[in-house]
Amino acid sequence: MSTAVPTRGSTGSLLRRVIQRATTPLLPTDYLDLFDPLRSGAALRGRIVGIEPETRDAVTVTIRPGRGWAGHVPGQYVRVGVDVDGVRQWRAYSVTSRTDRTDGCLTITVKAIPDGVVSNHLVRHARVGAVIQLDQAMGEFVLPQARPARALFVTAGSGITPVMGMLRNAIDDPDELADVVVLHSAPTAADVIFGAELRALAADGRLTLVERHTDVEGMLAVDELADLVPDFAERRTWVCGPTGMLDALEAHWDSHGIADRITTERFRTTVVVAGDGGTVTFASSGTTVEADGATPILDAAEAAGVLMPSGCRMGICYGCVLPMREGAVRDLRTGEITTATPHESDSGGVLIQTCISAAAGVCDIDH
Amino acid sequence: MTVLQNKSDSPIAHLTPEDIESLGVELDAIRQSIVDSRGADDAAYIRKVIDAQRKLELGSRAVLLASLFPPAWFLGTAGLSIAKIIENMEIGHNVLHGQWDWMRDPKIHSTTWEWDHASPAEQWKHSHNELHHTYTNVVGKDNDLGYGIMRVDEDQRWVPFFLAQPLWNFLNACFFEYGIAAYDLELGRNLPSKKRRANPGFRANVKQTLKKIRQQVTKDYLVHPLLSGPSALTTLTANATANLVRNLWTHSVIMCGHLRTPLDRGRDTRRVVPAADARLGEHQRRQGHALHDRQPVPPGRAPPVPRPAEQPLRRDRRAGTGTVREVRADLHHRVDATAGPVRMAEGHPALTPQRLHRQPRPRRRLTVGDGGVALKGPFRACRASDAGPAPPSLPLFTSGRRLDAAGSSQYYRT
Repeated sequence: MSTAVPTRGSTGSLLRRVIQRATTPLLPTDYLDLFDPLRSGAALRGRIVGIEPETRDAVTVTIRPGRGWAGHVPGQYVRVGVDVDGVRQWRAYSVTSRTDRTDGCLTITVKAIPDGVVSNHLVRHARVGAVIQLDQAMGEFVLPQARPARALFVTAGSGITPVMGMLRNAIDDPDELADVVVLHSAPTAADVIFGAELRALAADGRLTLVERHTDVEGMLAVDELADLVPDFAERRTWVCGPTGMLDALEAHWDSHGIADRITTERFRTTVVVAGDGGTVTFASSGTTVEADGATPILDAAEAAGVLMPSGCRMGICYGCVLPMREGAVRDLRTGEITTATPHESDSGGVLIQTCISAAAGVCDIDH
Repeated sequence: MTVLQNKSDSPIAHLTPEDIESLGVELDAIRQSIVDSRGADDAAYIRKVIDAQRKLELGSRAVLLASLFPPAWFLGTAGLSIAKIIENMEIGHNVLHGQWDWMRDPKIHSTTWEWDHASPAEQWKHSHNELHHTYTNVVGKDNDLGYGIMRVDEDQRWVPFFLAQPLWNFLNACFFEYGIAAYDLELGRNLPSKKRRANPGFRANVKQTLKKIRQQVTKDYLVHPLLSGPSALTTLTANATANLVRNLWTHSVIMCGHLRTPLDRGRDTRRVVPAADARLGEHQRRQGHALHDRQPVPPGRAPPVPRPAEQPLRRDRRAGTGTVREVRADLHHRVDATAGPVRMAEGHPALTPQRLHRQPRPRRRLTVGDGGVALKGPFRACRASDAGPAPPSLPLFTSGRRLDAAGSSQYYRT
């Protein structure tokens, strides 16, 4: 779809209408996608053009985005849609590349986490040449316009990735970050993603690097912070890592009355835990239904007076499919759990068959 | 003689409730093994088919730009015919079934797909997925059963119109896509009634179908011929031929698949399907919601006609007052339909089947959903129970076959 709005009756508009009449019921883009999925005007996609190992379980994936890519601000993340075993899965990864790359590519750095469907696929199975889905870059985890005089980055594991995105773009500029401390935790020295690059920057005197190797030294405790970074309270601080670390550091900053100086990045805003039954919210009608774990959401919603689409009520006809934006449901036939979280699902939500799905937690359904 | 016949010895009569339960378990296991086995290869397959089909269509239409040249006409027509057949049968039908929804690809999804066919996807999904597949071969429910123009089941009432059935079938084959569009609208039921004609839902569906047909016709019989310039007329005949070939192909595949001889009552799902009439088709169905930027359907998605999802039924077929329609027990133990004529030939007074049937006999009855058990699947939902004599509250289908004068006459005609 073109973003340009042609004058009505112009040649371009007439031509476009004729082409649409010729391709109905499909759109001209459906045919153009066969030949150039990355062209201008196509749904945003990218092609993997490189996969480089960083550590034993992390890789940097270089992606050539489609022509519609609007660029990113260092520190932001991009949602990527990857087909794993044929199923489209969406995940958010921080952009780690410089904004001024001449080849127009971007990179994300992915660490394989245990049972991580997408991260393991990208680290171990993804191939150069594969086309993936992209969203435009998003996120508030960025440096402010007025750069702070002193900055502290506390990271762990793959939490270094958005910080590296910022550092690579800002560290070379003398007007940018002048006094930077990076406090990074990883199991061993070999597990530090971008370890060589960080150490080189530290050796160059452009930042102070404090590595914490947790296999030997144990996890970082908040009361050690004052020893490691004595002036942490005066530093503008960005934190990215496991939820426990984020919570602890936020509480620590809060207790010092400097909560306004810390910014955290949480990829998983909510961890969906599958339970038995739950509160189902229907966003557009504003109705909330308490559903137990044995009743199809369709039945529970109808009993509460929600006008639901329905069909065979046996899971055959797909007439009852609705998008779930957030939550977990259990397939009453198989017990299989389907979850949706805003970051890890298609932006339209995960489509579920309400007639054979029971709530397995709090569900937010777009209907 | 019809393809679907009533037999005195039902092939499932000997099944115990446990047998039916275990059949359900086995069928669920087959389903699960298929679900477990699908993966990247399947996704690659459907994408490859879609890719090949679209390129074949583009290529054929390009060749037809020179259709004035006879070899180009033949090549283009053959290619376009194959492209349309694949689009309808292997891609459109399956995608609209939701067969590929598991991929979570909004571009290949039952809620966003539109197909190269006169029937709007939204209406076809209702009449095919919801009605045909829930009530397969149930007279009065499944429009695929003869499409309202043919008598293929003994239980359909005979009228002289059916004498010309082979002709109707041939015409239906030639214009099959329009036949499908018409029966999705249930024209046979809705047109004769002034009230039904005025129903805003019905009018919206008609409007939606006409719009789809107009777009399809404009494409094949106006835009592409005009784009062919001097070959306009030959491109028009090529497109018409491709549509005809597709219609004949889909018609014969469907007819041969649905109505094989002999097709006995053992396949009749009316015994085991909970026909919860009140739940069907009453809701305003959602507009097909576009995910991402996909708006594949220029035709507006009108809501379907608010209607009970059925054709007019003979009195003895109407739904009972209960929430679940009782299964007709007498089908298992029906009277030999030829008894009347045979007796007449022997010089006895004609006995109508129901009089013959009055002799009480113990019979097995299938009931559906024991005491409000939550439905756990299409097969597990069904419980067979030997309930003995019919309770008085369920008189309609358990107290012997009731036939009105017209209904009984069919036994003498077949």
